[in-house]
Amino acid sequence: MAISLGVSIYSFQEELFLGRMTLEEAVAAVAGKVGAKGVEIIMDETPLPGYRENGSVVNDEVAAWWKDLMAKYDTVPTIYGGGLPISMYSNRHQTVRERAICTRREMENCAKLGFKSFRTAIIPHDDIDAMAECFDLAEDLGITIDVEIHAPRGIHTWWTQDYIEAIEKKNSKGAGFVLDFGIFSKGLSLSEIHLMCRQGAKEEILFKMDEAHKAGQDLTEDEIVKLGGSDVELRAARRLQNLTYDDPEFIREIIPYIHAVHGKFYEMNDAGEEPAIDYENPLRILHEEGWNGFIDSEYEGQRAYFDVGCDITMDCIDQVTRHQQMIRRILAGF
Amino acid sequence: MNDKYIFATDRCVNFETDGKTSGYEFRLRIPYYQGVPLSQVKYIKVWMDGEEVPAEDISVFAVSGEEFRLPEIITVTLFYWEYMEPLRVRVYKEGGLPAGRHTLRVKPSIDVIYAPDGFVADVSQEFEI
Repeated sequence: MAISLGVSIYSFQEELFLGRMTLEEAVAAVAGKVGAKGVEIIMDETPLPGYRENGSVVNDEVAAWWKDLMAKYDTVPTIYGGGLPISMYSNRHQTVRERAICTRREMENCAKLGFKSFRTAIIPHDDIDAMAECFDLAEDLGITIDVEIHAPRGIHTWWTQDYIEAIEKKNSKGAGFVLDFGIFSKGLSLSEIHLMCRQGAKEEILFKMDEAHKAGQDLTEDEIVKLGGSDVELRAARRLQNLTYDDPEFIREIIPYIHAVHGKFYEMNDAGEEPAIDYENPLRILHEEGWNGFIDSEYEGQRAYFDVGCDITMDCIDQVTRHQQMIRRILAGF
Repeated sequence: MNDKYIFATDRCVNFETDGKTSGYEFRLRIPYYQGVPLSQVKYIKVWMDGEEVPAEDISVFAVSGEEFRLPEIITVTLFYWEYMEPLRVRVYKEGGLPAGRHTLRVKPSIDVIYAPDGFVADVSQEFEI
């Protein structure tokens, strides 16, 4: 076993949203042009046929449809993205017990479809209590309930540390993390640089700021203004200051708990690199630690084009393909 | 979020019930990255030609055809505003809209705990009746 590659179907969100791609076409693209083995879904983004009609419960027919799809394209399920039950009603938050019941119901769906990792999120601290009520079921189902380590919440924050404490307290084998590479953000993404340029920023100033940040020497407001920067460039400066960059060495501390990885990326450049996120160091550490599991490409930069009006449509399949080529290239160098 | 794509079509049409024109309808995509039960929709505000429409005059449809008025959706957990399926929205207004050009503004919000104002879009579109 070694590191395997998959794709989160979320990467194709714009095409799915506009009805230009079906879930099956997305899986076909993963197996075809992209050439990856793993498939991750967010169930509430791409509900499987028959799932809603059955009250959002996976029955045998729904599971059979999914398993046939995986067999047809020779792919395997990786991460099942669950909902956020705490926000189910807009006029109140669900209690810990309610959240635990909803989560267990979804975990049954996850296992029935053959996913090994059930991805969830901790928002308030007592979400940990809700998850802890699900550890035993996860073990019974042979899956893990994995909290996403996601910016701005890094490895050395309570979201990660207190969850580890809860897992260790129960000595559970049914819980851990999905590590999102967005916590290794080293600079501005191309997608946000392009967005800020459409909003009036000067590209050369943004690149200068980005370069200075990566060198550990952020430009001051005065320096930015002297270069000719104004509001948008100053917003970029705040963005740079707020980026999450965890020391990749921290990964070693949580290796046994990492059950899957989100290969978050915003936009690949023409050289086939993701300039905003450190891939080299985290991948090297995963490799050195002998970590086995799936890294699922998670493309998100297309949003910077369609959140606010813009006529550019990014080629999501091409972006994901380049991202996978980058990971393969880096891994091959170790 | 998703502002560019919230209006699923450039159409807003009058509809009839019992042989009478009783309002107008249009389709909206969700301002979020996944579907949510209707109970999670914080609000859908609608302004027609600058005038805000009362929530009780607005209804939405489940994909399977069930219709709910906005004040009722807080109890609707089985039916979803799907990510891949625009929501059919109706405004009840006797006689519908008169012929001519109109401006429709909509502001839907999805309640999500980590987003203090919810996931919101605020968009306008002109159309012809």
